[in-house]
Amino acid sequence: MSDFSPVLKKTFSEKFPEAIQGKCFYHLKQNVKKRYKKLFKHLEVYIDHLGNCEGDRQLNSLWKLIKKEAKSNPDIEDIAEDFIDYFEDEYMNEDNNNWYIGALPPGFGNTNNMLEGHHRYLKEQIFEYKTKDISK
Amino acid sequence: MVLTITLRHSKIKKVLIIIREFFFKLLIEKFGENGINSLVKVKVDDLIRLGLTNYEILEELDENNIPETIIPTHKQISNRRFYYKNKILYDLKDHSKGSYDKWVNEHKGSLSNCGDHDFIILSSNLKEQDFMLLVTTKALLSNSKAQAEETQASYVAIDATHKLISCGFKFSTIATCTMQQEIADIAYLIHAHEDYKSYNYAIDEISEALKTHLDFIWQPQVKIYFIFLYFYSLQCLTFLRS
Repeated sequence: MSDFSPVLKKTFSEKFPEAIQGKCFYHLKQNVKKRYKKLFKHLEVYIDHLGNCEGDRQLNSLWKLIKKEAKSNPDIEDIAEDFIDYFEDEYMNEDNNNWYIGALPPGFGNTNNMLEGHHRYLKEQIFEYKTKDISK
Repeated sequence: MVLTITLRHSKIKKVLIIIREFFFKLLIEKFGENGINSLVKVKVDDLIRLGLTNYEILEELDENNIPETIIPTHKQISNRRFYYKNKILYDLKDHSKGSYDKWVNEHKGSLSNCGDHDFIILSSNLKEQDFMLLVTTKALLSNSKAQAEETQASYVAIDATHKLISCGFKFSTIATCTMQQEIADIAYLIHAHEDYKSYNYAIDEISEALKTHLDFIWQPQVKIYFIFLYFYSLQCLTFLRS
């Protein structure tokens, strides 16, 4: 399990060619949010459910629904095509689509959050690092 | 004749003034782009050494009432950090290699002799512009074996962070995860570059240590796990039919 780093992908596919390389769904969401801020607001609920798909069929039908929703929404229809192309190129290809529950072995999560949390804890302990409280 | 010369002179003067202004403007812009102002450079260096992030450095400068015109940009601070990283690597390689090697040898305990929770340097590599340092304990290494035995499939999670070690050095945690989503570390890698070479090195060293000291072949794969599930489901089906 890792983020979408090409370096880790190359290393693991050479060292452990038979292993399934899980990708972090949280990082996927962050990438989409960074690139398409406006669109993400409208489609966040759908994108959240993409990570919980239990198989290819479920994933493809939900993706069709997202495409339909993006194209029909007047607020985001201008960037819909761009988003669809980007998402299909980056995350729906065979090399990079192990980010939903169904693509991973049963019992294992589809995020790298436990490691991120671990690093955050270390930062807090060593540097008294604190993230900004956005509620204030 | 005199009149024409003065006219020419005034024209040339105007042109010269325009050219001078243009170059002066260019100089200011270039000065802004190229480096951190020498007045704040010392302060920025101190803050980088303290391990502050770029945003924290900018906040600190803002709090100290430093004029906006000389506050460095995000990119300038990153470049300064990169400069420091290369300087440290250069110093390590060319001037302090002996003392570094001595320090590594002091902490490079053998896994067969050390205690379960003693931190040891599993291996270290310092060549040209590369720097890698792999740290672990016997107990942490055995996490990998325990996880594989519990779930019949080895699981590895890797993540790197830039903020734990200052001056652009990376800290990567190589860990595994139980079925209850609890993290269990295997080893920590401190490296200069987030590249194929560093991760390849870490995986090779961990595999070797697991093989020699724990008699375990580290091979993250799910094939066995699916076979196990297949036989388990077959057993369930035969039970239901009966």
